[in-house]
Parts: sequence; structure tokens; C-alpha cells
Amino acid sequence: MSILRKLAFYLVALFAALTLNFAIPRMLPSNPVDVLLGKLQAQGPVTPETRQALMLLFGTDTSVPIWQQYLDYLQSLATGNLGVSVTYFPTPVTEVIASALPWTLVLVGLTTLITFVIGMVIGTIAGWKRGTWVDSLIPSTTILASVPYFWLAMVLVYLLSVTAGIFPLGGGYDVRRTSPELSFEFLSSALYYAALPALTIVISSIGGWILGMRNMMVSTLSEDYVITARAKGLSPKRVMITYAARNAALPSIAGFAISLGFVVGGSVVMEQVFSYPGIGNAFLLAVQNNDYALMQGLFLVITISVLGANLLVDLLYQFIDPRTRARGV
Amino acid sequence: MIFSKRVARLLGAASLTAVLAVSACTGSGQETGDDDTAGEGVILQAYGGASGQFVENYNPLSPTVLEAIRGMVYESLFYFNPLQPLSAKPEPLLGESYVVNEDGTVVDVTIKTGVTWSDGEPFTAEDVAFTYNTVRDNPELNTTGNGPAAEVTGENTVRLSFDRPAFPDVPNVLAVSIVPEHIFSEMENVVIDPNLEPVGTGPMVLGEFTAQSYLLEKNDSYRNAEDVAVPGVRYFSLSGNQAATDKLLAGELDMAGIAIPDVETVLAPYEDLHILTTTFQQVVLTTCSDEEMGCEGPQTDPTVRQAMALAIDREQINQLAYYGRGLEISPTFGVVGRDDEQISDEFPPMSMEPDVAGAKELLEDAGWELGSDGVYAKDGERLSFDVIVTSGYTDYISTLDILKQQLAEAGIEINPQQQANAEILSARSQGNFQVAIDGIFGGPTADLYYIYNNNFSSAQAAPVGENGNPYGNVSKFSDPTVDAAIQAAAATQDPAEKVRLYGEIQDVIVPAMPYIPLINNQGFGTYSTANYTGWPTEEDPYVQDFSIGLLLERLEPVN
Amino acid sequence: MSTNPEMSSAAGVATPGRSGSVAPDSPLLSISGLSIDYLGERTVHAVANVSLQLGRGEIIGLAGESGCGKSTLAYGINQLLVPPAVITEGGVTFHDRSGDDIDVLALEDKELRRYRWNKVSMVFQGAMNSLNPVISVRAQLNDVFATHRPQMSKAERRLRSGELLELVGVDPKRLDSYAHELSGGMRQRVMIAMALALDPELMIMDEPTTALDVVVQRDILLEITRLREELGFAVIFITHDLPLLLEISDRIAIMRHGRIVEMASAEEIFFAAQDPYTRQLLRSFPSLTGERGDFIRHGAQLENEEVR
Ligand SMILES: Nc1ncnc2c1ncn2[C@@H]1O[C@H](COP(=O)(O)OP(=O)(O)O)[C@@H](O)[C@H]1O
Ligand SMILES: [Mg+2]
Repeated sequence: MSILRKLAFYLVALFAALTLNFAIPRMLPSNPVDVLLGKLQAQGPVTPETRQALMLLFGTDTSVPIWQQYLDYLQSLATGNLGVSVTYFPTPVTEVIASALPWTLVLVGLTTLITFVIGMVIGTIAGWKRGTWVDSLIPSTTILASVPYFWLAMVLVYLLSVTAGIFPLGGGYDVRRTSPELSFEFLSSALYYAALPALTIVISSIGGWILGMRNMMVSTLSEDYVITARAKGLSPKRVMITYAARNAALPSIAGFAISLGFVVGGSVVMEQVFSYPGIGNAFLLAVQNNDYALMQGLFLVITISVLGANLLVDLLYQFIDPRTRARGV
Repeated sequence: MIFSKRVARLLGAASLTAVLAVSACTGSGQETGDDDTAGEGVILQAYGGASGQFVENYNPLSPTVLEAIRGMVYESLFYFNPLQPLSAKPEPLLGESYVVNEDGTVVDVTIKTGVTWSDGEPFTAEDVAFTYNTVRDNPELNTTGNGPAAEVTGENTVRLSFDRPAFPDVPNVLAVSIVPEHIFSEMENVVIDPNLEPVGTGPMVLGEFTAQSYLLEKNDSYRNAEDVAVPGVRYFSLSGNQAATDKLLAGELDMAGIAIPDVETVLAPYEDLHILTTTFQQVVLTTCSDEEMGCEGPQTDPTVRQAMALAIDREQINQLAYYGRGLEISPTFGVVGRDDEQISDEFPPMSMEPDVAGAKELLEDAGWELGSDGVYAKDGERLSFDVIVTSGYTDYISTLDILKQQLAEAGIEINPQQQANAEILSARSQGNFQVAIDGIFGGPTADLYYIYNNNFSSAQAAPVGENGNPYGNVSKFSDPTVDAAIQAAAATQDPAEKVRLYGEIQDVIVPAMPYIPLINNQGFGTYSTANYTGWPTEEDPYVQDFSIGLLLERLEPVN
Repeated sequence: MSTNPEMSSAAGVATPGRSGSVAPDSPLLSISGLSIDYLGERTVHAVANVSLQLGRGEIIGLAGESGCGKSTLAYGINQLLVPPAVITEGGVTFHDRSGDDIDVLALEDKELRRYRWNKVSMVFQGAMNSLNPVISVRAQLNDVFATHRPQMSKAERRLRSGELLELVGVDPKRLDSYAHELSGGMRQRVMIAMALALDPELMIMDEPTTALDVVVQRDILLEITRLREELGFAVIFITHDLPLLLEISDRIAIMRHGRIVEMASAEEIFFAAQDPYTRQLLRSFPSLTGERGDFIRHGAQLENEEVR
């Protein structure tokens, strides 16, 4: 029952998001054709005929009534057709997304997960050993978190790539030596190129997890059930993990769900700094080019990933927090 | 690809400025050491302004085809070079010659014989007819709106028939890339087919593709293959202008279209690197000029526009915003020098020096009075208006900063407003602006017709509030004499008659001055003589566009 | 379950006379001169020089206003204190069944953990919060067995867990419940069951009924006294509710500002309190009438609510 209700809620949310997704790009000033024409105007005056031809080509003919556009939009969504990207014309949006998504998912997704896990572990230990030297290191990680990501990334690029030459400057892999395929060469190159971006994400976001978890740990440790667990003579590890950390982690897990949802959409700056061929880059280009179809496709993916991450955590929460399970039973 | 500062900037605008700053010091270094070499000869390394991922699209009829596929892989019938004066003849490519009839409705083309497609099939008149009929049948591809119907009239001849007189459309129409019927007729939807296995007639065929770079390789069946010493051309997508500049300075690019500020100083230490002027961007203040079309503000008064034109210190703008590379600008918008034959003798280039006193006199004669705030006013209306400019366009922004000071001395107040590109486009389309800073670009040939038709004819202007062409007659200027002369010019091939008509137009538009001329900024392409010589020069600008296959026939290896 | 017959016979026997400080015949726990401070800008002497002897099977009540140091003392007995608390002086000795004396404050790590719950179990005030909300009752019981009785088989554990719940009057089905699914009274019963799991010799109860309503509170107290009689463990019962202590304790210690100001049998405290503070404390409960134990017995007749 509760699962059904939850799914219904998510469906409504999805539908609302899809409708916004339709509306928002249309509220932006100008249109993809005029932006593209700006690039062509130096080759000769842009005639109304050229403009009309491109409007037809890109399907931005505004003479179609808006409700018709909306219906067409819903219908093509239902058939999995997200339209054709203007930026990457005539590539279908699905293909653009399919080629960009893995980069972002793997790099940002894995990094977010790793950051979360490491942050939780360090936060747990720091909270457990509150007042010791381990705990006193924590404020320094929050200083890192307060540095703007952009600035941090630039400094690291300067130090580690430009000056020390340890990491490449940017890109997804070495374009000259390999190309995307399932080979050791490509994978190792991709890993090498992902290392520095990953490092910057970890450094900039881990402080928050550590601090949050550490503080929750400290307050959880004074809970009666933790003292009871200690009085029961349980091993410190057991007390720390099963009694303290499992309870202290609950708020962080909700936060993790949110950040997982933003994996797909939240990496614009990183991908710009590192010229990383992922969703963030595609998104920026889509906005610059007023590429409605691509924007909508990306919004859709982001919406689904946010909702999906929330649903996942909702379900996961039922496992880790029996209190949430109770209502529906 | 045309290498102009503007185009490169537009394409590169994606990148955040600060990112550029870092890639600036770096760009190179990492990627040195593995120059492409193929068999014999050095592969040309090229950058045309691409940022982001390349996407495979080798369909030359598509507006988003990969750069250089048109020109290197596919060829048109003729090549029209806008760097040549009006009197110059186009370069025959797949065509041999053409004749336009009296009223400009029929073009008879004779094609070259003995040409083959890169898959071995012969190139025929049927291919030409197929190409034009395909364009005509698909409104999405018919970018002139006047695409001709084509019919094979002989073994080597094709007749193109237009619905209406087409003298001005001929250069664009004859520049259409010819595609092989035996391949394109098989396509389900030629409009969006990316033509993944391109078969052309040009000097290059497709080598390899990745999202960051692709390689074109020499087509051994090219009709002038023995003249082509270049084994291949590799095109890159880079993160932006700064990365591209680094790569160029590191000797890793043979040809590039990059907006490099103060380019002469930057390139001075590198004796292999040279520039070729490829485009003329006539920088102007576009005014919303016509009250009847719904424009509002003091700039609708021609006297105000004339006074502004007088008060401007063009030399200062040239030095501060354009590093002294700008040329004198003519109020007729002909390029001084190249277009002298089309410019009326009555209208010398705009003075590079300001005449503030003259400007004030003009205003005062028209009833404007200097207010206590140092700004003129008339009937309670201050001589003050907003000027919109796209954020990130640094040359425009600094030009406006300078102008603000210059015009203040003449009692005219301007308020520069930076806006995002999309907003600017929307404002220009709808006419929701008073003044915008802008560039006027020429057409496919040096013929001034293109500028006049595009920027001054009332057919190209929409009333304020309607969704007009943001690249058309944005000033909304309209004048019956001008409209009539433009129409007449479209219907004649006679150069003398054209010049006469252009004189009529100039007599009206120079005094009205809906676009206030600032400076003529030269767009340029950059090339390196480290590996190859024989590039087009100021003296012999045999191509304006580095993606035209002719270029490769002229390049000679250094070693 | 194994009950020491010797212990049973000793149960409830309080030393007569004004003998609060006199050692019982068969001591279980001796606290001598224990002082505990909370270090800080203003150091708090939460427990100051407390000495106390607890007999086997005896119920000692520890009363005093809140903040007087009762919990701190209780935690000290089990070495549960964490910084900034420090034991500045004194000792705690546990006189084991086997005859060994355990110096509690000298225990470390493994030995300390073996001592905890095996010898001394605890039930805390917050019945609501003493159970871990995210794991089931069974898992929390299992934790105890897994730690202290690793040789027990799964089946034995299940059996024993069921027995324990039955012992405190809770349906064994509740083993699979989570804390939030139980009423306050049930939770405290479960905690008591858990405290009994290893058949400890001493159970420290720190305000175990404070958070419960009166009826439930009475049930729990009845349960504790019954179990104590059956199983013979000693109890240190901490509360600020003096009348309640009077009913169930053999001896009562009155604490104030970290010190024990008076220690005597329940009767002596009730009828002949010596310390002015004790008298003041007694006066603050106006309804102290009726016989000792009346509250419990009377309440027992009323009992009908709690579903078992
Ligand atoms: N963690 C602590 N830090 C400092 N002082 C504390 C701490 N815990 C308790 N105290 C102080 O120690 C004294 C005794 O507290 P406690 O033993 O909890 O009293 P009780 O259980 O009798 O209510 C109180 O004054 C209290 O403020
Ligand atoms: Mg207490």
C-alpha cells in the first residue's frame, strides 16, 4: 500500500516536472535558430528565407499552437523520442545524452559515492574519538569545503597539471592515443584523466559529510541506547557501528540522496574546468544555443535521476530506519 | 569555415574566461611530441573555432555539417571569393562556366567532365540536377528561399530555373555543395541524415573521427591529386580561444581561426605565423530609428545620429578597443579600397578625428539645449539612451566605455547595458531597444547589394513588438527610394547600372544614418609557414576560406 | 534458570539498627571513598567521597534531588563515565559469587566488558531511548548473548530470549518488534528482560520508571520486586521519588551535592530520619500515608490494563 502511494506520488512529481520542462525553455528569450544564425552571419547576410528554412529544420516553427506543441511533446516522450539536438544537429537528443551520461555518471557518481563513504567513516571515527587529535583535524576539512569549487579546481589544475605535470589538463581521455572502447588502454587513459577532477570533487565536498556525521555521532553517543550498549559490554566496534553510527547516519543518508540526484546535473563547473565530455558540458552548450530539445532531454534525465535517487533512498530508508516502515504496515 | 574574429568568438564563447586563463599557460606542453605524419608529408593541423564535442555529420546540405566537409570533401560548382572586387570572376570548381539570362531567371551551367566521386562512380549532370531539386523540394534546406528547379539539358549542361529574378542569389546558389545522386537518393530523410560515409569529389576524404578531433585524408582520385602535397588535415575541438592560441604559438597548428586580441603584437615574435584578413566587420551603433515603426527615444532623430557620428573619436576607439587594426569606415558601408568603385565620390570615409563643436552646433541648430547636468535636452526629453551589448564581447564593451566618455563631451549620454546573447537576440528581433552595438557583414561577394538589401530595405524590417529577423534590418529604417533602388539592383547584372543605383541609395542612407559607423574591424585567419608555404596573402587572396579545397593545391611542403 | 539458593535466603534481609554504614554480612559490592569530578572551566564535584556496601540480594534505594550525582555514581560503578568525568579517588570492589574480589576501577578493555552485564546490568531512565531504534529487540538481545555467551547456539538464544520476555510478562512474539512498536511500559519490561539475560548479581536501575505513568510504573515495580525475590539479584534503585523507595528498598541512601548524607533502613528513614535534608525531602511528599508497601499491594488489585 505505502509503496503504491509512494509510487503515485513520484508519478505526479514526474508529470509536474515534465510539464515545467516543457514550459521553461519556451520562456527563455530568443530561439535556437537565431543563436545558430549568429555564428553564420559572418558568412553573409542572414535572409528571412534562411531563417525560415532553419526554423523548419529545427522544428522551432512557432506558428504551431502551444497546446499542440505540448501534446506533441508528451507523445514523443512516451515513445522515447526526445527530438533532435540543434547544437549537435542532426543527432537525436537521446544519442547526445547517451554519449555524455556515462562520463558524468561514472566520474561524478562514483566520486560522490566515494566521498560519502569516506566522509562517513572519518566522521564516525572523529565523533567516536571526540576531543582527541583525530577530532581536532576536522575543522581543516571544512575550510576546504568553504573554498569555492571553481577556485579550488583551478588551483589544483595549476599546481598538479600545469606546474607539476602529474595530471592532464582536461578532457575525458587521450584523444590522440585511444578512442572509446572496452580496452585496457582506453580505460586506463579515462581513469588517468578522471583522477584530478575526482580529487577536486572529493576535496571540496568531503568536509560537509565529515562534519555532519561527526556532529551527529557526538549527539548520538550520549543517547541512552548507546550507553546501554556500552553497559552491555559490547565491543567498541559494535557500539560504534551498530548502535551509534547506524543512527547517526540517518540524516546524512537523506542528504546523500539529494546529492546523488544532483550527480547528473550538478557538475557543470567541474566539466567546464576540465573540459570533461559529460552532461554538464552538454547542458551549458544547450543553454547557450537555446537548444530546447537537448535542454528538455537533459532536464528530463536530471529530473528522473533526482526522483529516482529520492525513491531509492525512500526505499532504502525503510531498511535502515524501521520507524519509516511502520506507517504503511 | 571562415576565420573571423567574430565567428571564433561566438563559437568559443562557451568557455568560462577564467578557465581560459589557466589553459592559457598550459594548452600546449601536454600534447606536443606526436605530430601526425602519414606516408610522406606533414598532416595539416587545423582549428576552426570548434568547442565542445564534434558530432558526426558529413551531410553538406545540413547547416550543422562538420567544418571543412563542405569545401574539402564536397565541392560546389563555383567558388565566389568576397575578398575579390565586384568585377572579379568566380573560380570554377565542378562547374566550367555559366550564363545567366536577361531577366535573371535561368542559369545555364556547363560542368567539368572526367570527374569521379571518391567511390569511383562518375560525376554527372544528373548529380547536379539531383542536388538542386533536393534543395528545392525540402524547404528545410532551401536557405535562399529561391532554390531553382534543375533539369539536365545535355551531357554536361544543367539548366537552373528560378521562380523570380535571382541575380543576387546566384553566388549562394552556385556555392551549394553538389552531392552524389547514387547515395543521397537512397536516404530516407536527406534533411537529417548524417551521411556517415561521405563520398565527395574534393581533395580530401574522411579518415578517422573522434569527438575531439577528426582527420581528412588525401583523395587520390581527386582530379588535381598530383597538385595536392598535403597528405591530410586534422581538425580539433579545443576548450576555447586561449587554448587554441597556446596551441598555435606552440607551433601545433598550421591554420586557425582564433580571435586573438592585439594579434600583431602577439604573433610578432613568431616568424612562421602570419595572418590573412578574411572578413570585414563594420562596427556600428544600430539605432531603432523609425518612429513610425514604433521606435522611441531621441535616437529616432537623424540630427541626433549625425551629431553622434561627428562627436566620435574613431582613432581612440581603434587604438584602445581594436589595437590599431581597424580600418577607416565608409558611411556607405563599402569597404574602403576594395569597394571604391561602388562608393559614391560624395561620401568620403568617416573622419577618424572627432568634431565635438560641430556636433554641438548641429544639435543646437535643431533646438536642443544644454542642460545644467551637461546633457542636451529638448521639450523636456534628455539626450540620453541605453545601448545594449552582449556580455562577454569585450571589444564591444570597451568600445562603449570609450564612447560613453566621448559622447559625454558633446552633451550626449549613453548607458551601456550588458545582456546575455539570447536576450540581445530577442531585443533585436522584437525591436525592444534604443541603440545596440553591432557588426555589419558583407555578402557572398563584394557586391554592396547584400548589405543594402539586408540592412536597409523595409522588406527586412518588422514593426516593434513583432518577431523580426534579428540579423535583418534591425534599425527598422524604411525609405521608398531606397526600396525601389534595391529592387532595381536585384534585377540587373550591369555593374554600371548597379553603381548608379547604389549612389541613389547612398544619397538617402548617409544623411539618415540609421547605423552610426564606428570602425571597420578586420577578421582574420592565422597560418603557419613552418610546414607549408603558398598561403593566400593580401596581394593574392586566392581563397578567403581555408576550407576551400583550392587551398591544398597551392600549398607546398617546406622540406 | 539458575538461582543461587544461598542468595535467595539472603534476599530482603536488611541489617537492623542505625546501620547504614555498617557492612552487610555477605557483601556484594563495596564502594569506598569514591569521588568523581566533571572537569571543565568550573569543575563539578559530582560525587564526593562516597562509601557504600551492598549486600547480596539487597535492594538499596538511592534518593536525592536531580543533579545530586546519583547517575554519576551509578555510572562509576560500571566504569561507564566518559570525559570530562574523572574518578579522582576511591575504589569499587565487586565480591564475585566465586569468592574473587574484582577491583572494578582497574578493569580494562576485555575484562571490563566481560564484567559489564555479566555481573552488573543496568536499566536506564529513558525507557523510550534505551532500545536502539533501528534494530529489533531480538537483535539487541542477541548482541548480549553473542558477546558474553558465544558458545550458545542460535536455538538456545532464541529459546532464552523467549523465556526472558515471558519472565517480564511480554509476549515473546514481540522479539521481532522495534522499539517504536512497543509501549513505554513494554519497553522498560524488555529492558529489564535484557538486564536479566546473563543472570547478573547486581542490577542498577537509574530512574527506571520516571518516564512512565503511575499505573505502569506500579506494574514495573511489582515486577522488579517479584523477580528479585525469584532470582535473588541485588538492586541499586535510583530515583528522586522517596516514597517509592520507602516501599521497595531494604536500605536507602540519601544523596545531596554528591555526598551521602544519610543511610539507613527504609523504616528508619521514614520514622526517624536524622538528617534535616532527609526530613525536608520527606515533607515534600505530602501523601506519605498508609503502610509501607501499601502502594504496591493496593495497586496490584487495580491492575488490569497492561496486556501481556
Ligand atoms: N557531562 C557532564 N559534564 C559536566 N557536568 C556534568 C556532566 N554530567 C553531569 N554533570 C553534573 O554533575 C552533577 C551530577 O549529575 P547527575 O549524576 O546526572 O545527577 P542526577 O543523576 O542525580 O540527576 C550535576 O550537577 C550535573 O550538572
Ligand atoms: Mg540522573
